Amino acid sequence: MTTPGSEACTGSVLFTDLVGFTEFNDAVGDAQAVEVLDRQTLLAAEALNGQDDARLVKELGDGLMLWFGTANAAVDAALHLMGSVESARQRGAFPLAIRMGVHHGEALTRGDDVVGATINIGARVADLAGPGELLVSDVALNAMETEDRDVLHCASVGPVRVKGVREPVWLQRVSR
Amino acid sequence: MASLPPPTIDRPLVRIASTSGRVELIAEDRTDVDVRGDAEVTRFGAATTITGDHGRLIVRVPAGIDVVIGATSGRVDVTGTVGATAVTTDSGRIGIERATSVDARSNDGRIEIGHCSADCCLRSEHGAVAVASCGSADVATATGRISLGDVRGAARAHCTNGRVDITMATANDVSAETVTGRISVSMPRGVRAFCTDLADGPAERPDDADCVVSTHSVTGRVDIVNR
Repeated sequence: MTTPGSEACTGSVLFTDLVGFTEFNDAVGDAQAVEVLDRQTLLAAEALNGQDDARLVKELGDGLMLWFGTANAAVDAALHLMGSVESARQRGAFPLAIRMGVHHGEALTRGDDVVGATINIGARVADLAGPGELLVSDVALNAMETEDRDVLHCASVGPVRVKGVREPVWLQRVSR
Repeated sequence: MASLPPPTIDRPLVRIASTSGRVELIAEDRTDVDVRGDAEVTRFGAATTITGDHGRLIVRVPAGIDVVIGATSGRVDVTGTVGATAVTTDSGRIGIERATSVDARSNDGRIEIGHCSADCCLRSEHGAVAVASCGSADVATATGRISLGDVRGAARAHCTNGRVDITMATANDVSAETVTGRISVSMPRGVRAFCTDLADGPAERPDDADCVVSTHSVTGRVDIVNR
């Protein structure tokens, strides 16, 4: 059910988080910390480039929320962003690791925002990821095109329960 | 009805989801899966899915089988020898006696691994992580202390502001990072480790080095010793 100004949509949400950002900010000061946030946003914009129906919904402190029309696009962008960050870290050009989570389902638009249980689950999935990790729900993996999914390396991760969601959310650690 | 597992699962697998109840998984010499406790059991392809709620679950499985377990606040104990093992809890403690590989994650719960013969991937926000022996290790916590013993493969540890202790059994590469926590790496006697700071970017490994120990702490102390 929608309310005036909101619209139902189906797609995939990607949450990112910079691991240890608060402590890093305390240690190096605001100016360097803001540089890192700007760099993350730039790398995310590059990962979104060319993806249909994809957008940065909002910045959440040191994390980002992105929305995609398909699970394929979300996972592809996440792996692209992971590769960019890890590559920059190996060169000493990015000081923190990134962690990410992807979930797929129905949601509601609310202005520029996207809200609903799918979004809440996506955030919880990202919370469970470690540095340099992408976790993807089984729901999102099952929504992917077979040929795109088959090239991924998937390893089972224990499921999570999300408040207000009856079924456990089963997860995979995904890499290429 | 439990959600479908992805088609990437091609080996026998037992999946268990619980909320606040304790989960005990016992791997033993048997061929079937026995479930004691209030739970829904579904089978799809190679996967058996057991969904419980608040009560205690005791699940007996064939030794060596792959398992995936999730609990919210309940404790999870895996005894006997299992295959690839993945466990997630929010606040419940995780204990795994012996597995081929481990992926264990908790928010507040302590994680204790006995023996893991291959890859050991552990994540905790605030709970401590301890491994008695493992192949390779990839461990990350926010504030929980990391203690890795008898590591026989590459070791990677990331802790925001807890202490990291790594004891290597063989000459393999180590990567350890903290923001404020202390890092201690112990290598076997006679191993020539090339030590680098991760913040300095890639460094060329000398020909006579047995392994590379890369560490970085923004404000914490780093000790690398041969024992």
